[in-house]
Amino acid sequence: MKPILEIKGLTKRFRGIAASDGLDLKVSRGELHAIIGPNGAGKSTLIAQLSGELVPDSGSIHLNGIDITHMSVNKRALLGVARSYQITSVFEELTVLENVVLAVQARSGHSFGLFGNPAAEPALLEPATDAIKSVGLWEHINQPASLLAHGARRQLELALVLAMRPQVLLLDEPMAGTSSTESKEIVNLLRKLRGTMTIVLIEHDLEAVFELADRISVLVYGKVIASGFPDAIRLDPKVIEAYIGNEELVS
Amino acid sequence: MVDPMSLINTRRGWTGFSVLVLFALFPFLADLAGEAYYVTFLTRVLIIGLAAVGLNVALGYAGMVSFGHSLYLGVGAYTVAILSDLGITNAVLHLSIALCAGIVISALVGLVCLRTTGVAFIMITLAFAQMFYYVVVGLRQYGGDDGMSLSARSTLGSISLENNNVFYYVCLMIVALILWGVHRMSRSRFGSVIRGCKLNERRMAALGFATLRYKLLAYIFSAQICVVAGFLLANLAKFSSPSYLQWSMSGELIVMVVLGGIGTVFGPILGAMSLLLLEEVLANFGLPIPFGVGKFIQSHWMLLIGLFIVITGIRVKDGLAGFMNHRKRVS
Repeated sequence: MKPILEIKGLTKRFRGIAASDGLDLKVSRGELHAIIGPNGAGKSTLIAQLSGELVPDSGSIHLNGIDITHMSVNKRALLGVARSYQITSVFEELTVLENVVLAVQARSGHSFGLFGNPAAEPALLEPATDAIKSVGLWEHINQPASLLAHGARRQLELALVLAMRPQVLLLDEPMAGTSSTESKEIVNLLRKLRGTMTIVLIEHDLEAVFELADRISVLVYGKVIASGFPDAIRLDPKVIEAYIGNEELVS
Repeated sequence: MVDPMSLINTRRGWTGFSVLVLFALFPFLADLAGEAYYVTFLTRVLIIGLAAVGLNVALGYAGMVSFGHSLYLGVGAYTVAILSDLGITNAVLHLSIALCAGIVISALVGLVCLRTTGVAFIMITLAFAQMFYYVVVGLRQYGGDDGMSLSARSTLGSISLENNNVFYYVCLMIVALILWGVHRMSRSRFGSVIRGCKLNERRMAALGFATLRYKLLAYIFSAQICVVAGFLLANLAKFSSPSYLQWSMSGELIVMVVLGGIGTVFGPILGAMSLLLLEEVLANFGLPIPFGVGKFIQSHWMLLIGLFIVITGIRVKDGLAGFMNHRKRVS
């Protein structure tokens, strides 16, 4: 089967330092593909190039066979590439509901209408409330984002991308800084989402990664040094070597 | 499910409505008091307030701090002056030509300015306004530095705009209509998108919005309200002057918006009213304070206005409109 996301020879340098160094990666449709690697391996730079916020120096990115290497952020989003941010990036002054309604609104045609209240349109409200329920924020639905606790803000971050009904979901450390109960909730959510859409997951919590991932790619110094099923990755000598002195691979 | 935002908005609507009713009754009161001059003064408040409402669409709702909206006042005012000079006096024609010119200019200016954000945006909008200021000063056949007088106000069929009370009501109607439009806009899909751009533009792009397009449209829309204000201002004074395009005018509009309440429908009108009213009272009437303090204030009235702005800025969140709504919610 053709991969949904195909990355070839992706290179991005910052003042001579290669954050992506001829990176090749294939993501199959419907899989949860985790990307792990030590700090500074270029994981977030990869996500930024996939979402369009950074333009690669060379190489190509294809989505469903379409070249999206130089496509703008918003066009990619409408094609079905949605990203979450490692540092929560929501609309602080708006309520949870208003936040998510905006995300639904983006893919529901143009928004040049000057009349009618979007928060009262069923076509926007239903998908928004679905997304809010699925991340477990229902009881906070009318709270402003700025008043949410850290864990709830991470959940809102996820609700925003889910409301976009993406084909490819790019998650940049969704569990960053959450408590153990909160991260358990997020793991549960990802388990439910697995199989319903393609997910590219960057995560430092290796326990969660090995439990959730269909396949894992290991990124070191801007290159994929290994890509395969979790069991194979766990035993790969190159991966073990890369992680020595950094983090322990779970046994 | 009750949305708390909707409750607040309804109240804001009522505040605005009651103020509009007061405005509508004003000419009768002025006639009773035999002070017809104040009708002209209040017309000026309405028109400058309208320009502030226009700026507020860009500044308050979309977060674009334009320091050059006086440019569009000038577009409106000079269209009236130049067309009148050419013998065209029809108000509808004046307004439509002014709006056409305004749309073209604001679209081009906006496209350039919106490539930048923050301080750079402020400086570029200022630069464009200054450019047009010097263009107007250079128009010798239209008064140059001195500005130019209109022989009469624009004509509107059988309605005589020369009558100050009639002109006042025409202004009031236009202002009410535009306020209603801004209120609807702020709660519409478009309104929520430009608010999103103000709060977190990066995220808006990541959600799939072509943010530049929406911001440009908000800028053009905002500019056109100022064009209408310019059209009315030239008619009120029967005079068009380069001072309408001066940077100090842009600055005053910003102060009015901030004072009245950024991103509120009615705030800019309140801001314009309080500022112009203070100016009028302090500069023209000696306050009955002994030991020469009254006289001192009369000659240095700018000092007191500055103090007023500072106190409002520090003590009142969301400007005067926010203050009034807060009081209502507490009581």
